[in-house]
Formats: sequence, structure tokens, C-alpha cells
Amino acid sequence: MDDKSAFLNGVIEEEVFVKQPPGFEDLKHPDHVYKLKKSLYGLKHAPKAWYNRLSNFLIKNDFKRGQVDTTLFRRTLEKYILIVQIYVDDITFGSTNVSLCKEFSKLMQDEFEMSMMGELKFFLGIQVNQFKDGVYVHQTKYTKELLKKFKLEDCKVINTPMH
Amino acid sequence: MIGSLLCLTTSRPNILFSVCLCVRFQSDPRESHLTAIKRIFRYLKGTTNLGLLYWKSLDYKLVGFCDADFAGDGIERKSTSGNCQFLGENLISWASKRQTTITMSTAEAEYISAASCCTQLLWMKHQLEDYQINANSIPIYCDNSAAICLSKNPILHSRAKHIEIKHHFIRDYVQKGILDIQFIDTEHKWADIFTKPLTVEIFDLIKKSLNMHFVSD
Repeated sequence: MDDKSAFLNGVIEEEVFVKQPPGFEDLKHPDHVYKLKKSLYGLKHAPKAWYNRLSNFLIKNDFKRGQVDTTLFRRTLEKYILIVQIYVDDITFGSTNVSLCKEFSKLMQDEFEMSMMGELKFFLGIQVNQFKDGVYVHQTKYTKELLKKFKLEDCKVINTPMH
Repeated sequence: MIGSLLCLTTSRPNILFSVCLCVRFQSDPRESHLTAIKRIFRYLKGTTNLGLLYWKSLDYKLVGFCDADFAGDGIERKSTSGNCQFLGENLISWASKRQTTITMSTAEAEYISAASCCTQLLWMKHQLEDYQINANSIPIYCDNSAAICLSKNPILHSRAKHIEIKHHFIRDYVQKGILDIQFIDTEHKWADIFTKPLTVEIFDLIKKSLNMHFVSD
């Protein structure tokens, strides 16, 4: 799933002020500035603020943060596990129990403005094909685009990359 | 062109070595290097839908393979280390890197390669603990018995005493029993593909062993 305006969700702790945006100046107080309550895109604090907001929310909901990979969250419920991996505003998750997945998706949609993409097909430029006994990970689309970009679509095929 | 090929190595371990070799000449490229890159593209053209396959399984055993090509770099005479790690039967990580120090023997080159494989395995071990999976006595397969003896026997030899301390990192973990370094015959050296150019037969064999298959839609 994907968050629509991730960075706008972050809450900032420091005091940050912004100029009045052009076209929206207050005629009575033209030299006043705005104090930010939440973070904005382009702000240096924005990614951290978003991460804090999201991780605090997940931890509050029984998730455990990974020791090595701090963008990995895990929740154990009886014998089932739910694993959540975040990449800025892209979130992938999987579970050994379907209802845990549904529950999580509802939880996130209630808290943030999320859009569900369904089964994982494309993540960070890598295509994913799932089938019964496993998963294929490939970059077919990207390879084709590359060949087109460098005008090598009609080159002769060879069976090793180097000799 | 090289940058985009590097992007491709995330799902194609088999071109990693050739791409990494080309990367080294980026500061002073010649026409011959362009030909080499075009060859990689010609290979890609025939294998556009090649992908990595991950089988569904409950086998969470970590295994590492390492290999080195002694003085494979013809200009600086440095060796290349290559390693790959499997979780169960699925390939999860791979690397090809020219070593920073010039080595004097194949054993030394393999030893350094095993040490870098060890660091990666340790990181994975910690990562797996996040998923509540504990791995112990992780096997590393190495094809050089001298390098294996070096890591198991912590004595100083006249022929090995010059090796930098950082490469002796692996000894500690072998002694603690976290890693278990083992010999492997030449037929099962999957890390070969990350250190040297291979013939078609061996290349395809290793490719298959790394779980690389053509994806059908």
C-alpha cells in the first residue's frame, strides 16, 4: 500500500517558521510568519518526522521494530506473524494469516490516507510474480526499456556476458 | 549505461561480475570498454525475462559460498573476491569485489574472500534474529584447503604472518562455532560466477543453481 501525502503526516518537535506564501499574504500583518504545527515537503525534518509518526503508531499497535533493519516491523499473534516493511511511503506487508493482513490494512487506512494496491506486483523497480510454490523476482520491463533507450533492440544475441 | 546496468544486478546476479569489471574503467574509458558493455547488452537481449526464483519453503538454513580469483585484475594485480549466500535453497545475497590489498598467494586471496563472506553472513544472522530465527555454525564453502586451515588454526606462519589483522576476523567466529568453514569441490562452486568469466556450459549451470529461471507470463 502507498501513502498519498506521507510527509504531511509528520509532527515536528522543533520550532519552524515559514514565510507567508505568495498570493496569501495577510494585508494587516505583512511581516508576520507562520509557525508550523506539522511537517511539509522539502523540510529537512520531514522524513524523520514521518518515520517517527509511523513507527510510534506501529509500536503502539503491538508491533516490534527490527533490531538490524529499523524499517521492519513484526507482530506476533498466537502462532501467526505479520511482517511489515516500510520504504518511506511504500509499505509492503505479509502474514501467515489472511485476516491479520486485512486487519492491518484497515488499521492503516483509518489512521493515514492510504491506498491499497492489492497483491505485490512491483516494488522499488523490481517486478514480482507470485505463484503457488514461490515467487519470481525480475526486471523484464526495465531490461526492455534499457535496450530501447540505447537503441540495441536489434543486436545479435550472445549467450554469455563476457568471455 | 553502466549505472543502468548496475540497477539490473539487483535481480540478475549472473551479470554482476562483468558489470563490476566495466565499472572499474569508468574514469578513463576506451572504445574497447564500450564493446565490452555492448556485449553485456547483447546477452541481456537474449535473456530479457530472466529472473530470480524463490521457492516457498520452511528451510531457514543459512549457507555461504566464497571464491577468489587470484590476481584477476591484470593492471594492479589485485584479486577479486566473490561470495553468495543462500537461505535454504534460495539465493538471497551476492557480491563481487576487487580486494583492496594485493595478495601473495591464492590461499591468501581466498582467505580474504572468506572473511568478507563471513561479515555478510553475520549481518544476516542478526537480521534473522528479528524474525526469531537463530542460525548457528553457519557453513561457508571454500575451495581452498590452505585458506580453510588458516582460519581454523590460529598460529602465525612465516608465509601468512603479513596478512592484515582485519582479515583475521573470521578466525574468531570459526573458533566460537558461529561459522563453520568447509571444503567444496570444483563442481559446486557457485561463487565462481562472481569472480571470473566462464564458458557457456558452466555459466548456465551456475545460473540454474542460483535459481535463475526464465519468467513466463
